[in-house]
Amino acid sequence: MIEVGEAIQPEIRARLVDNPFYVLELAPDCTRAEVERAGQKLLAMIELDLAGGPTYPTPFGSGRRDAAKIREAMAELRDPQRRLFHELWVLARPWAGETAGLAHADGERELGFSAARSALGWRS
Amino acid sequence: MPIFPLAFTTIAILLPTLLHRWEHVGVSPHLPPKQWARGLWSVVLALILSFVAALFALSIGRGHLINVIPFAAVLVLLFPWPITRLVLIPLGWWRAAFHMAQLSGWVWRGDVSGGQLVAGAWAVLRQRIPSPSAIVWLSARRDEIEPLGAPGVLGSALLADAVGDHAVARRLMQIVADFDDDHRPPLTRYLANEWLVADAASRGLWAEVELRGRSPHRRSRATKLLGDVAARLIGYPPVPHNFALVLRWLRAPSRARTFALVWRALLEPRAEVVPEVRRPSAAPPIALEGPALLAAHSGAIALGRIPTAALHQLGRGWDQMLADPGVRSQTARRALALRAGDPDLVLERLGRQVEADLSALARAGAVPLAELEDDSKTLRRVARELRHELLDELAIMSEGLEARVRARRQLAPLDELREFLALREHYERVCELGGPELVRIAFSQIHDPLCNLAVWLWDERGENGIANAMFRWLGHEAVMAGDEQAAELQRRNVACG
Repeated sequence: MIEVGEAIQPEIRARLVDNPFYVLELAPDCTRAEVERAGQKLLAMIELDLAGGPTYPTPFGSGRRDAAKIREAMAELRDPQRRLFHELWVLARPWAGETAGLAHADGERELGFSAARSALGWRS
Repeated sequence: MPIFPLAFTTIAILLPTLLHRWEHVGVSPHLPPKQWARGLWSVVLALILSFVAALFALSIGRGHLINVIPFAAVLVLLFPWPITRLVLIPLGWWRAAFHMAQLSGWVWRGDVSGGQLVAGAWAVLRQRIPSPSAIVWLSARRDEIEPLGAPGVLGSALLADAVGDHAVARRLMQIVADFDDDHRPPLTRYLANEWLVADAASRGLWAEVELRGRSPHRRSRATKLLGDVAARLIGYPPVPHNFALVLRWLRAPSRARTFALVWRALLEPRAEVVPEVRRPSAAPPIALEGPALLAAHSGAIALGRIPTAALHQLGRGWDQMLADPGVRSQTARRALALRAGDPDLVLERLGRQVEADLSALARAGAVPLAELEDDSKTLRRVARELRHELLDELAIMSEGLEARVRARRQLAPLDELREFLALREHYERVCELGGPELVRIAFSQIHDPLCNLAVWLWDERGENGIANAMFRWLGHEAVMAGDEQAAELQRRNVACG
């Protein structure tokens, strides 16, 4: 059984969800013009408070975006070197069933006895 | 007026009062307080009350039924802790429990305020929804306790449990075991053990339940049952028979609540775990490649924790991928199309990112550093970085504490204890992950700051109980780290009492 250590830092998980391609809902082979168009469209949607503006789907669950995050994503994709780095992660697309046999540690944890505290008189 | 009742009343009032006062202010500044004398006043009071109760019982027996009222009052005064424990705490009457515990001086070996805190906090825990005002009130009483002894720490742990802070409660309960017997009423160790067993059982840590539930110390019948159930579930010898388990269950309270657990244990075959039949380690799985590796890596980060074998699989996969000329040429082609410049910079950044991710996964899974240094270059680099990271964090915590102690910026006794526990927890994590090679380095980092803190608490602040627990723990760790000089110093500190 795997020992339980510290929880993984939230910013590491957030890096996956906040990939600029997911934020702008673009494919990794999109053009520069598509980046600008998608960014402007999403900024307008946020400004007008339209449905679908504040959230976006990712393989790791839905993320939340605001105007700052959209502008940051556009800036990341404008820089070719940074864009190439983000492309590498998006190309993988780990949708359901593609985690290549990595078992969830919690699945191996043995079952506890939830009534233990009350059985020993610590709870009513 | 006859002389006997007058003399008896005088003695009955004066003797316990005098003993109680001696306990608090001392007989003389030149005479140190005696351990055996702690709570002696309550024993004397109990003897006198027993005599009075016997007189009332005789009187009732002769037909004076009116004496039932004072007889009942004397009985209440005679058994304050059983009444608190069996009536007031289960009812959740925290204020009554708090005040009634004041009479239980002997049970708490003189630390009556700590005992009151335990009774009040326990009663709050027994409420369906713990009362926030009660927790605030009890916390204020706790802050007034000086010095903070084992009952005070136990009560603080129960208060932390009542507000849902189980991690702090667990740490405080564990430190109760480190208190010296002179600073710890036997009941505190018993209650801390009972709480830790319940906590471990609720989290499914059956090895810990077995260890504590079958320890040679005093245990309740429910704890004995949980200890045997745990031994059966994990196959720890001697594994109890079905008949022994059923007998334990019949003798334990809360049979309806424990029935399902006992049934689960009975269904488990009675087999002892023998180290010789441990499964041979499986052949290393095939290394992942390309998109499958990236997908597995992203999936692992999303999961948050993965088994050690999967971490090795990722490490080997990244070794191959980062050294693969095909990946480099593919990245170079894409870099050319995007006009992204040097592709090696992107691959370097990818490598750094991967190492940071694997490091976080290794920490989350509490993977020992030695296991990371097997066959993967990437994981070896991760292990090296993790080692520095763990020691740096420990050094920062130690230096912060040392600076505060040097500047004599004091915290409340419980906060001092919490800071000690936080540093201790981090030290234990470093030792657990780093193995024997890091124990000595880590110990040399924490010894002086913690020793100075304990000496300050002992010499200038009169927190002897907490300081003694710290000295004892440092002495134990000094032996484990092989630092004979520190071990000798802590032996002398512990011997101070």
